[in-house]
Formats: sequence, C-alpha cells, structure tokens
Amino acid sequence: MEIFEECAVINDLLQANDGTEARNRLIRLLDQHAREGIPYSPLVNHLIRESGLFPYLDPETSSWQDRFIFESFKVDIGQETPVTLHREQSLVLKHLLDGDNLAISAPTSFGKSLIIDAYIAVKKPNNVLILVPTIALTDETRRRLSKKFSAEYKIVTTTEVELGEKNILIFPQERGIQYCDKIEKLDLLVVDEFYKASQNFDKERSPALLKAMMKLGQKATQKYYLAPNISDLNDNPFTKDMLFLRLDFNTVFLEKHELYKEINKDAQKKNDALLQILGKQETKSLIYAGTYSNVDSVATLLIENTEREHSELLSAFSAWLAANYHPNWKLTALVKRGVGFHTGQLHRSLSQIQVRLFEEEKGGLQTLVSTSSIIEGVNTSAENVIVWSNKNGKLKLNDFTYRNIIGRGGRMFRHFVGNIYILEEPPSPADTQLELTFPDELLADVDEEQYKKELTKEQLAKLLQYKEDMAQILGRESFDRLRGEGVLISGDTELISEIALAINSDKKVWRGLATLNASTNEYWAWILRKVIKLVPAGWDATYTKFAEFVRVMSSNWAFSIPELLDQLSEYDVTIEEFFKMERNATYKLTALLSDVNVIQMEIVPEHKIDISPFIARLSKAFLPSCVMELEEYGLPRMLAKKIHASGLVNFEDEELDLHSAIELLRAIQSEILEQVEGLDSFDRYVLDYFFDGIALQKPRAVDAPVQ
Amino acid sequence: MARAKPVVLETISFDNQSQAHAFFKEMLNRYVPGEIVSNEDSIHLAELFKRHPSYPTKIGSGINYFEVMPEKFGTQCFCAVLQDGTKEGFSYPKCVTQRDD
Repeated sequence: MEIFEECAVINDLLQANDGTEARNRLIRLLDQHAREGIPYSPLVNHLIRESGLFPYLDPETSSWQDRFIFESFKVDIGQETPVTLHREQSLVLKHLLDGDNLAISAPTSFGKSLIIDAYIAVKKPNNVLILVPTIALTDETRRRLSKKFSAEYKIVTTTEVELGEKNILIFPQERGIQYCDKIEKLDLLVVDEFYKASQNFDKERSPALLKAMMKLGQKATQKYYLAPNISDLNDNPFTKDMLFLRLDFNTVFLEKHELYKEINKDAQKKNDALLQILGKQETKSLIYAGTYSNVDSVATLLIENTEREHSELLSAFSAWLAANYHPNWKLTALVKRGVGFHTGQLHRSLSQIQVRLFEEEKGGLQTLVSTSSIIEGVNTSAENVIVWSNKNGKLKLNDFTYRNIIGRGGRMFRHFVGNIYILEEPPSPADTQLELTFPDELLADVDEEQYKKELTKEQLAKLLQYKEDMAQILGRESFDRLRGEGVLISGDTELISEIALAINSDKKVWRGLATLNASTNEYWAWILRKVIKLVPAGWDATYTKFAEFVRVMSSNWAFSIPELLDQLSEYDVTIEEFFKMERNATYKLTALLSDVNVIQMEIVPEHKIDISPFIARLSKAFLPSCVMELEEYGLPRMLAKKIHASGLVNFEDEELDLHSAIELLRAIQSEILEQVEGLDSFDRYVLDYFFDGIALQKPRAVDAPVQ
Repeated sequence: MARAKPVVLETISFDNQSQAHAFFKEMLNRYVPGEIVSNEDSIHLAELFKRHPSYPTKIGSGINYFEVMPEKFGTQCFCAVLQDGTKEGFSYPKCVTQRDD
C-alpha cells in the first residue's frame, strides 16, 4: 500500500465527514507503520490529529501544531506521567468535570475506565464508589487504582471495613448494597457495565444492581455509568436526569475473517480451521466457545492435536494444579500446551492466575478458551479472537454480546488491528436499546408511594398483597420494623412470603437450625435440605449432594481440595461441581439462610436460635479470618495455609482483619519468601503476583511539595 | 380375634402395641434431629430400648443420653449416645414389636 495515496484517501474521507471509515483506514495504516518500522511522517501525524486519535501522535515527527495538541490533551491520571486523551475521552472527562451525570456507551477499546482515573486525579473527590460486575473486575480495578491512589485513599473492596477519610470503594453490587447505610455522601458513583441492570442481560443479578443503583444513587452527587454498544436508553427511574452519550469511537480496527462461510457448519472443517489458525499464530488468541461443554470440547481437541510447549513456567503450573486441585483435571494437561480456560465456574484465584499467565509476553499461556466470562469478568484482550460458537449458554448469541466478544480483539498501544476469526455464523446486526424496568424481585424493598409512577398495576397489587400477608404472619409492627431496618437481603416478595409461611406453618422443624451452631456437623444436612428446598432451582446439584457438600466444606481449612473431593467421592463430585457448589454456598445459601434467620427470630423467638455465627463462617467457605478475602487479592488458600503453618501469620486469629493482614504480609514479604517451607516455583510466581497487587503507591514527582 | 399384646415397661404400661407405638411416635415427633431427649422422656425411652432385639450389642459401653437423629428420606429416629461418644440409632417400632425385620 502506498502510504501517500492512502493518506489522500483518508483525507478525502475526513473531508466528506466519514470519520469512522477514515479512522479505520488510518488505524490500519498505523499498523503497517508499526509492522514495517516506519516512522510517522508529519502528514500521518496530521491525519491522526484530524481523526481525534491524539494519543497516537508522535511528538518527535509531528509539526509543532500537532505537538501542541498532543500536549494540550494530556491529563493527570494518577500515574508518574500524564497521558494524552483522545478527542472523545476528553469530551467525556469535560462533562464529568463540569458536574454532569453521564451514562455513556462506547466500544471496548475506547478507554472508559481511564476517565475515572483522570477524574479522581484532577478533582480529588472524597468518596468514589465503583460498582463492577464481578470479583475479578473488583480486583483488577483495585490493582489499577491502588498503584495510583493508595497513598491518598483507602481502597475498599470487601464488606465490614472501617472507612477512611477519603475512600475509593470497589464492589460488585451485592456488596455495594451493604454500604448504603455506612456512607453519608458519595462524590461519584460509577457503574461499570451498567447494561447488566437490565433483566435481558443478567436475569439473576440485575435486581441487586438496580437496588444498588437506586440506593447508592440517592447518596451520590454525581453519577457515571458505562456500557459498550448501547444505541439507546429508555426513560426509567434509574438513569433519570442523566445525559446519555453514544460514542462509537474505536481506537483499534477489527479485521474480520468470515471463515464460517467456507466451513458451512461442518464440524471437521471447523476443527481444522481452529487448529490451522492457532498453528500459524505467534500472538495471543482468545477462543470464545460459548458453553461449558464447548469449552470442554475445544480443550479436548487441543490436547489431542497440539504439542506441549517448552515452558518451565507452564510445567510448574500444571504440577501445581495437579497437587492443589485434581491430578486428572483436563486443565493440567491443557496448560502444558500453552492453553488455559476461563469460565464463570472456576475458583477466582485460578482465573486470575490464568489471565496473568495469558498476559505474560514469554513463557505464559498463548491461548485462552472461554465462555462469556471473559467479556464479563475481566478486561483482557488479544490480537486474535476466534468465535468458535454462536451460542451463549443455551441461547443463541445476540449481536450485543457478539460485539462485546469481538471487541476483545486489539488493544490501544499493543496491537492496532485485532484479527477476528468467525467460525460460526454471527448474529445479524441489531441496535440494542437498554430497557431498565422495575423487577418484581425488588418490590419488597421499595416504598410504593415513592415509586408509584414506575410500578405497574400488577406490581402495586402484588406489593400490597405482600405487605398484608407479611403483616398477618409477623404482625404489622414486626414487619414494618424489618422493612425499616432493611435486614432482609432478598427483595423478592414471593421468596420472603414463602419463607415466612414455611416457618409459620411448621414451627418445630426450624428448631433444627440450632444444629448449625453445634460443634459437630453430623446433622447439618437434614436442616439444610429444608432450607434449600425453599428455593427449588439453581443449586447445580441435588439437595442431598449440596447439603453434604456444605457439611464437608466445613473442613476447608484442615483439608486440601483433593482430600475434600475424596471425602465426597460417594456423591461423585467433580472439581467443576466443587467450584460451583462453593460459590452457591458462599453467596446464595448465605443470603437465603440470613433471611430465614431473621424471619424465624421474629416468628419463633422462643426458640432462642440465632445462626448468624454459622452464616458468617459459611460466607467465608469456613476458612478462618480473612483467608477468603485474601483470595480475591490473589493469595489462594493453599498458600495462606503454608504461611500459617510456618508460624509467620496466625490466620486462625479471628481478630485478624483483611487490612491488617495485608499490612502484615507486606511487612514480612521477604521472611515469607525465605522461611515458608514447601514453596515450589509456582507458589513463588503466585506470591509475586499477590505482593505486586498490595504494593504501596510509589510517591509521585507531581505530588512533591513545592519548595 | 387375636388377643391384644400389652407392652409393659418398668415405668409405663400400654394395653396393646398400638398404644405404645402412638405414645413413642408422638414423643419422637416432638423433637427434630440434633435435639437431646428430655429426662422425663428418657426414663420411658430407656425402658423401651431394652426391648430392642439387638439391645445387648447396641448398648456397648453404656448409654450416656438419648437424642434424635435424621434418617433416610427426611425422616428421623431415636439415637442412644453411648459413654464412649458413639451413636446408635434405633427404631422405636422394632422395640415395640420386638421383631427384627
């Protein structure tokens, strides 16, 4: 391609106001420059400026006018040196600094999060709360912001933490709700991936997100909601008075290879195509497989048809997986071939480790096979994205999710062009209008007077019925008090009524809850089955299997995961089921038991049973003090066990809270690395990642006092 | 007509097995698994347990107290907690009928 001629075409497109096509061609031209090592000419720099892609300007080769733009758009984002924003980022930041409430839709490569950092660095607010959809994103955001702002702000990611003078709080919605009463005023409420507040995108968790947006929104002076690829937003109470900006401004180009036409649904051809694509790549690839079973099929295909990588790191990882999880687990064989997998089911420390290995330039994972967890859970990207399947779980992939998946291709300053290999026919392009409506699951939480206009007639009727039923069972005074105190976790009127009815109709049975506080766990299963049955679906196991799992999990600190699996051998629990059930136990069952506990204390106070201590232990998967929370910071339980065994940290001290544990671990980092027995090379790799994530912010030149 | 078989315990007597059955069924259902049987009930239960066909092998080191334990299919039964901590579940209907089937 003749550079000058291409510049002329781009210029013509800019003159014709076709900014998108001009930008796409320019990005491809910049890719050519990068691959061939050609410096930018003043003309290329000028086109970059005209396209608004200011961060790509090369001040060494640009005219002074363009260099001026490069400098003018620089902003402090909390790191050592300021960075140049692109035109649209700058526009968003300006709105925020002007105090506007913003809901924006912009593609993955836009750099939406960077604007939060700039806002904090420039405006220095006292309290910022960022809602993110997953724990993995919580940790990723914490790591990013800690490095920039931990000297000035307390960075809080877990519940029950005493707030500092200035705080950056980062939570999934369920945790955010717990801070509603602890925060008086928020300077900025950020909701990342706010499309998940729509039932169409996350049926199970959208009510909790809406509740967090509703309650925290009332305390926020300013709001900034972010999403990709939304074309419009309906009128709704959750984004009322917010300015919606749709910014289709891409900073990378996606080169689509529509191989599905040739494959034509032939499974063998599809397998061959995948192996061929991976065979010729030296760069990283993400494979979207769509379902758990497809992830498994792709894993099998790659194990059978690819060679082992010569990587000490990956061999060590494989051995580590075998020792700490299960020797016959497919992942142990897969990682030796430079391939990992990422699903919503995995232990979060394992997902984190694999993403870290995927981001290693050398010796790490070359390929990640994933479900939609990779677009929802983490911010990783790759030069190649392979769309292996057009399914998303049981459903067909929709255009919105498809665009989010392929948006993982390419990354600003790493690869200008992302290669998208499409092996199954993609969904037809469609505009996505985000509909945020009041879900029934929130009814128990709302004041019908305040939200009269937003609720449907049916919802109002349902709410009145609920209040009547509950007042009858609990007594009006008790019911009003519970509502006022906000002690019930679920906002689902049907579930709360169901629990109250069940307890009221057979009071004696619920005396069995007392066994959960007993010193032995032999009778837990009986009462747990009764509790689990209150929510008949979604436990990913039979009642008996799940109840037994909870009983066995109570030895989580004393035994390794392979040993626990051995104890569960009668129930045929696989490692994947173990992950799923641990997640269900620590979140779903904890929430259910908490509501059961509150209601039974009201209905049968004479039983004098309070299972709060059990619930607290269950929520931590029966691991002591802050071990479970430290997993979110990148310290898996097996390493906490080794550190505990060395005597350097007493994790069984229930007074040890997360933040003091982190301070202690940071202070004795070298002793841990020298004195803890039995640390293998991969343990050390994981520890390195953990310590990197808790390192204190380095003092910045820009913060130094002026003499 | 078959003659009613009385059930005679040291502490309480029943004219027939049905009455004994009903008495101990009602007792069992007052508890939930994990609960310790009250002293008052234990007096009669200890006597009933002596009628169990496997009583000599079941009592081992001697009975410390009685509790209720879960059984299959969401049901429950009485359980003797022995002096050495081991637990022996037993069926009250078997004690009433004294039949090991």
